[in-house]
Amino acid sequence: MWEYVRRAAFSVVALFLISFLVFCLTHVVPGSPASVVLDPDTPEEEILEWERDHNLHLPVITQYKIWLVNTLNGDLGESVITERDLAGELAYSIPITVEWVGLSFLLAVVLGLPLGIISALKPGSWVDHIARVIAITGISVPDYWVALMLVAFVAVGLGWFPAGGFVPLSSGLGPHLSALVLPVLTLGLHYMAVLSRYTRASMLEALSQDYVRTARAMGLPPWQVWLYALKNALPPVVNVGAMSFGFSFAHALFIEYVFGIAGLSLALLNAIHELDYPMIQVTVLVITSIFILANLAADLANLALNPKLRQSR
Amino acid sequence: MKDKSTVGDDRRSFLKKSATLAGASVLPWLSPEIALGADKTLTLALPNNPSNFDPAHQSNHDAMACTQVVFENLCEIDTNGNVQPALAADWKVSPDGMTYWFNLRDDVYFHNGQKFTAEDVKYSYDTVRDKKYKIRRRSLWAPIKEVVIESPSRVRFNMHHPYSDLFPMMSKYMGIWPKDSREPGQPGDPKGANAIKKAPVGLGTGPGMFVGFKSNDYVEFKRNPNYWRKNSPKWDRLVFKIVPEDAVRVAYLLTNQAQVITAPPPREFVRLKDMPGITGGTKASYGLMMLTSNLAKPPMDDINFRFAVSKAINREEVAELFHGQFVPYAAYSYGGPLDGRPYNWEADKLTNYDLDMAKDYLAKSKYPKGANLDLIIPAVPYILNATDTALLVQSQLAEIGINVRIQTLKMRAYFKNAFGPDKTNNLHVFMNPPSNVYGLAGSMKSDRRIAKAKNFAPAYPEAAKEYDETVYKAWAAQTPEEERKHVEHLQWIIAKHCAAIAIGGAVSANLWRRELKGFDVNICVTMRSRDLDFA
Repeated sequence: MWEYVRRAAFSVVALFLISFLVFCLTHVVPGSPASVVLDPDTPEEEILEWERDHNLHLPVITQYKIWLVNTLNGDLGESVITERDLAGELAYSIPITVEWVGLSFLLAVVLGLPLGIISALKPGSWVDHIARVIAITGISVPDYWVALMLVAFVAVGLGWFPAGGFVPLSSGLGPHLSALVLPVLTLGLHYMAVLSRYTRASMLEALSQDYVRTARAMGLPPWQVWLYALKNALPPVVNVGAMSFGFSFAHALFIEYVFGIAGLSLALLNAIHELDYPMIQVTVLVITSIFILANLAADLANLALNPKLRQSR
Repeated sequence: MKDKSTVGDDRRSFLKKSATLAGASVLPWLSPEIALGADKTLTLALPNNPSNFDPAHQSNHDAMACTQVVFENLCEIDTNGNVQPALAADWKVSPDGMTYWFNLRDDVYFHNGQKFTAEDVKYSYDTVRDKKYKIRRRSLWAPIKEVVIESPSRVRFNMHHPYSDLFPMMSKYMGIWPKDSREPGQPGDPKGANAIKKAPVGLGTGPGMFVGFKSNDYVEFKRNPNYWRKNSPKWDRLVFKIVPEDAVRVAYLLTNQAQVITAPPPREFVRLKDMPGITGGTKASYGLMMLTSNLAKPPMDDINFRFAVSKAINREEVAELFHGQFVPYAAYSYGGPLDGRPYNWEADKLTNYDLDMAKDYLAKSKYPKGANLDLIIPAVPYILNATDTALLVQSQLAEIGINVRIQTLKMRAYFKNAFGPDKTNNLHVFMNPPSNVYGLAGSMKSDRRIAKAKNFAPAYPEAAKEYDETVYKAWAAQTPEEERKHVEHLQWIIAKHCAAIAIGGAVSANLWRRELKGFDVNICVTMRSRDLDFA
């Protein structure tokens, strides 16, 4: 139990440090958002007044303290550009990103693990060659390009799915899922490639262990031998999977931009373009939290998958 | 067998729970309704997110396309740039240009059911000029001295000085909102609901009533059933869909997810507009691509060096980058030489491309062997992408030994560096309403902050004084011919000192579905949606 508490405490400290770092980095860029919000002809004294209204005249440390206290009290503040409530903005964008990135990851796991396992079980076979080509292609081809190709050929050419956008469930389950297909495929295929490569490597290593040779010598059926090997091959794959899940939220930035999906990543991209401090701060914090939670989940999964690990703790 | 001494679940129960969680993630949750492609729903795709809906607080034309659905003004500019009546049925201007009388329509109601009267006009123009409301475009309305109510359906504008830009400004940077709507406790209270900016429900008189906005996603309007223009609009629902990626915006059009798109990719425009089911159009706008500098900072402090730069830029080559969506010219003019607009050809000749003369000017300058020229450009394209132009200009100036060092800046840093006191040489497009004076006044009139950053007045005080006087004369012109004379003189003053370098004019372009009726490319760039209808 102590191990969990320790890891949770580390996660909280990491969140604080990252939030402080992001806050400082966004505030050291020269200039003021006043130049975006106010008219170019606005007199200097009004620019200063606007900055005072938004606490931008205070030292960065003081601004951070104010932000932190407000955030801990549940007040995320509002965008300096749109003046909209950030809690409301996030309440809309987070579910969208979590849904489609979650589905992408599910696709990656459902396709990537079997592909990696089959590839490892039949090394050098045509199945292995095909799986490796798919994996290398998935890793090396930029998502941006894949997204545009899917739009060009599947959406425009074949007319099977919408070219972009998010359609809520209230418009019907069919249109809702249909709009998710292309972005989910784009991101899912990339991480499927990553997971299949790691699964193959990990499985090959497990299959070369002494206990596998012993099991085979004892005449156990092949499927049972493979199952034993898989149990030992999974922990490193789970770790990579957790990392990939966290990374996929940052990766989603390109894909949300291409498909015009109003998720968290596109909100972050626009906030960076407009240097909307509070929006950058909270979106980075949310993405960081997801990354940290994914890693915690990986630790828990490893505990569940690895009896030796459980007993040692 | 389960090991009771261990922490957490065994492998089997872990896998079961994982499968359950994975299944749950497939279940999508409820979101606000927006059905695409439904009957009588029109979808228009825009590249930019509107930052707010206050008509007097806009920074880009995509936002204006949205606000003009809700808010209207006393007059409007049609898609060809002509002034047309709107909330004012007619008007009269005194011969000296110091007084405007507007007779208001009697059949207009706000979306909240309140009748539109002269009180609302006075309140709107009083608030936009009052600094306590911190409205972005306040400076444009400074020439108005006072707004006087003569009757519930008649207002008088008394001016500080003649201001022919009043009508073009009304089409672009202003709207009429109900009396007191920005006061404490009212919907437009900036410290309260701030509805004019965030969700202008009930606050406009326009054809569309605001329904909802989701950042980076869409803006939705419904038909105003009590709109004063009878039988308009034809649509029941209007959706502006935010699609930042050019290629996907085109895909939206091709798949009928959107019926109109703005800012089509220039190199694809010609091919796309002839595709089955698609059509397109262009109009020369009043947008100017310019290179402006701080005349107090080397090397642009030297007039001969500036002429060398201007005459080394081959604007015809720049135009090729934009595949017909750019009109090359060199006189500092918003609108260029097209459609009989004022254009000083002498100014053009003085500053336009001539490589031999560019070399001669450079030889005469303080920097005969060339110099480094820092140039900033905006990272996010606006109207036209300045990046390709900057790279081409870099190669053209290299031919005479000028080394251009390009820096791309995000909008905030760009504005500070381009318009702040330490102004750096910059290249971008400025979009002008259909006015021959507005942009020239905004760029170089010595009391404007943008002009101050150029240091034109300290460098050439007599010329700056002459320039300011000519701006006032242009605003006071009684006839187009008189205005032309003054505007062309303003262009000449800029050219004579090479105080700013024009590269050419932007062209408005749109693509739309053939079955859509009533669409016309707007000379002012802002996409117009009121008159759209399905075939």
